[in-house]
Amino acid sequence: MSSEAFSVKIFKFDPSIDATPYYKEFLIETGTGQSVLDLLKEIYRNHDSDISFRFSCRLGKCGVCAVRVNGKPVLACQTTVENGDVVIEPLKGFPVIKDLIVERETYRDRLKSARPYPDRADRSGGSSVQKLWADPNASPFLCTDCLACMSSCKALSRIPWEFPGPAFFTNLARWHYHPLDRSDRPALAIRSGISHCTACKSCSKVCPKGIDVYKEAIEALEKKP
Amino acid sequence: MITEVTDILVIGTGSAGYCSAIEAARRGRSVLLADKGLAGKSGCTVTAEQIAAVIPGMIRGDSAEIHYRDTLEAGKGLSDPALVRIMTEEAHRCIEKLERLGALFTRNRDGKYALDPMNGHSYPRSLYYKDITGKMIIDTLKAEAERIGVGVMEDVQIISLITGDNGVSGAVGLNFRYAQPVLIRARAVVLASGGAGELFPLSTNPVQSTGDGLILALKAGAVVRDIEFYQFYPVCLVYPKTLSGFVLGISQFGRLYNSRGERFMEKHDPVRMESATRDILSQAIFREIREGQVGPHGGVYLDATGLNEEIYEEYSDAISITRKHGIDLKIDRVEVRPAGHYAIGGIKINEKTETGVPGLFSAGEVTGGIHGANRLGNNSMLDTVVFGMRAGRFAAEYAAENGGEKADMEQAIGEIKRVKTLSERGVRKYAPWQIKKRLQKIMDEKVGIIKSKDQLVSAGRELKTLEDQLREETGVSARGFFFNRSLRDYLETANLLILARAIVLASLEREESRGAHFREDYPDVVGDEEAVSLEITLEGGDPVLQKRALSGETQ
Repeated sequence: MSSEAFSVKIFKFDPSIDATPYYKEFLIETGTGQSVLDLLKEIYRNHDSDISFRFSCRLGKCGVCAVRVNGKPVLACQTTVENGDVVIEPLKGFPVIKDLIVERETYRDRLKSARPYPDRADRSGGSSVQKLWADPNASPFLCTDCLACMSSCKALSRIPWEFPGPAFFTNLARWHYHPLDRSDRPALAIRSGISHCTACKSCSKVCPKGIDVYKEAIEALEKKP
Repeated sequence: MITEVTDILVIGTGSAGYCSAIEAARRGRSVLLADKGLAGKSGCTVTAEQIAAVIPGMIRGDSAEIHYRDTLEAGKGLSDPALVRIMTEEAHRCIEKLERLGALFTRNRDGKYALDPMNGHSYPRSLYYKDITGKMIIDTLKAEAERIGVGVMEDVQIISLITGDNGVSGAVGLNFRYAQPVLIRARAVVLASGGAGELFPLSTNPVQSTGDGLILALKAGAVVRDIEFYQFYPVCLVYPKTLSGFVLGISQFGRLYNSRGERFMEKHDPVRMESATRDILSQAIFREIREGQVGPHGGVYLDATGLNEEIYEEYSDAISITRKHGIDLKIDRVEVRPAGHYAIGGIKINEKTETGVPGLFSAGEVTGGIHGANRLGNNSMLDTVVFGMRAGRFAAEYAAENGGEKADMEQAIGEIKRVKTLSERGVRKYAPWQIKKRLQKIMDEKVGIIKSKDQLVSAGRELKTLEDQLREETGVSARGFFFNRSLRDYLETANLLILARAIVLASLEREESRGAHFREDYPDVVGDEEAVSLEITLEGGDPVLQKRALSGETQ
């Protein structure tokens, strides 16, 4: 067993106690193949049992464990840490509830206005489904709502009140591609501020599912049908 | 304290929970969904890959009747034929309902569903959408629930159901997000809280699968049946750690080797080899592991190289995920072993998903009796959808005519006080996670894939010690309720311990090998006609067991 250690700094903030957020440093023994989630579990178990973070499926499928590691938004369970020093922070662009857990409600409430379901769809009969059916084969269906893209978005960080962020448009694109959806998603995208996208494409770079958010959501919605 | 009033409380937000909620809400009832974590993210549905259903006109020769018989055959005499009949016959209509809500299933050019074969199913009848079928279904259900106004409470762990002379009148929970206890008054409650993968060190389930619903039901007076049958998914990655527990469905097309390079399935099932049933595969791999014929990470090798491109295409998600972690399934051998996958037994229900406790309904993995002694692949998603929808319907009907009694506040306050005292424990000799880890080791080695009397007796003793240690010597280091993970771990571990003891009790009593339950000291399989169901109830906090002979009407 190597006794070497590396530093893990974690963003800590409990608004019921702390006046301001701070970073707490832990020295973790060097290991192989550790994920960020392994680190967080190790810290919870042996260093600070009051650290708060989310995780669920552990397989990169549910999307609840997204955090920033050395500034980059990633899924904690799918990111292996090299034995260098690491800073782990909550996703940017969301209010922090506690430590690494961020508040998702504001985003979700905003999404509600976009009618995030097959809108104006004919839900009456199965045969109509079959007739309409064509595999949209579109990557927005892979989106797990991990919100990593939101954390990387330049427009969102600058003008959050004008631009609802890439995850919002990925969700919209999902319905845009959906064979049952009958509403005008591109028009809704314009009303929702899609033109404020700066085309920096950071969203496409950070998506853990490899969705080219810029191309498959933003551009697809901007294109006139 | 937060107080909520609703017609129907649904616990769990996987497919069964959402299906119940939607069906109940469509009948005009107010519905509240509660989940320990984020909605739609904490159950197994999000990771599910396929759903079995016979759709008329798709495959010549196949029918709901044959699906019914296949399911009973796998259940080895322990399935409730009435429930299986419902599941297989309503399958078609439920799939159609899902599609109307917007779920997509892959179809061929002729408009017919693309159907996959699955071990134990006589015909190809597994529907899928790429390999994100479960996610497709849960996304669809979430969207529909949102559209029709189902209420959702996240970060709420239900700690007790409130019961009285007239049955269930609500539940008490902890809202970790708002750091407060919650009292939910409800006319009916649907338990749809899933399985208990956390019983084992390696599991395919999300971390929230701690059997809470089984214990809530037992404490409310319901019966849990056939809990000794726990299904293992035979082929899951052990390494890299970032993917441990990752299910490799592609394995049925691949080849398994031990560390000596022997294709060991030749010994165990020379005909079906790697496409043998899950129990046969799990036992074979477990034996190799026990004999030390393993790689550096404790698993056997799966070789899935050189397969047809179409197969790789179908498992493209698995291939791209593993590739991100430096493994190419088309080139590399990987280390695999069985992982805890599915609680086959569970809460005893009838055709209306009633549990015997008035007002308490249940659906999905938390229930038992449908899959008998062993579950066919892809029947679980079908179970969640069919019985989820039924639970919603019957809970709504019940709530229209019953309930509305005042919740027994004394009971509620007692429960809250109990948990508050726990939250003030501070540090003691052990932390809850340590107890849980030891429990997992015991279950893996002695109560898992291969069992025997000696091992079970020793496991029972060790679990009792753990229970004492949890009660007396285990601390809850963080204070208050605000995202208090150590409190949550404590409560979950307490549930897992009761469940583990129940499994040991039933496993000891079942002196035979049948389906997913394998006793090394009783390796002979008893005929279906002699099937006895083992029912667990709780008395004074301890599991007790009754035998129930099943009538031979399995056809």
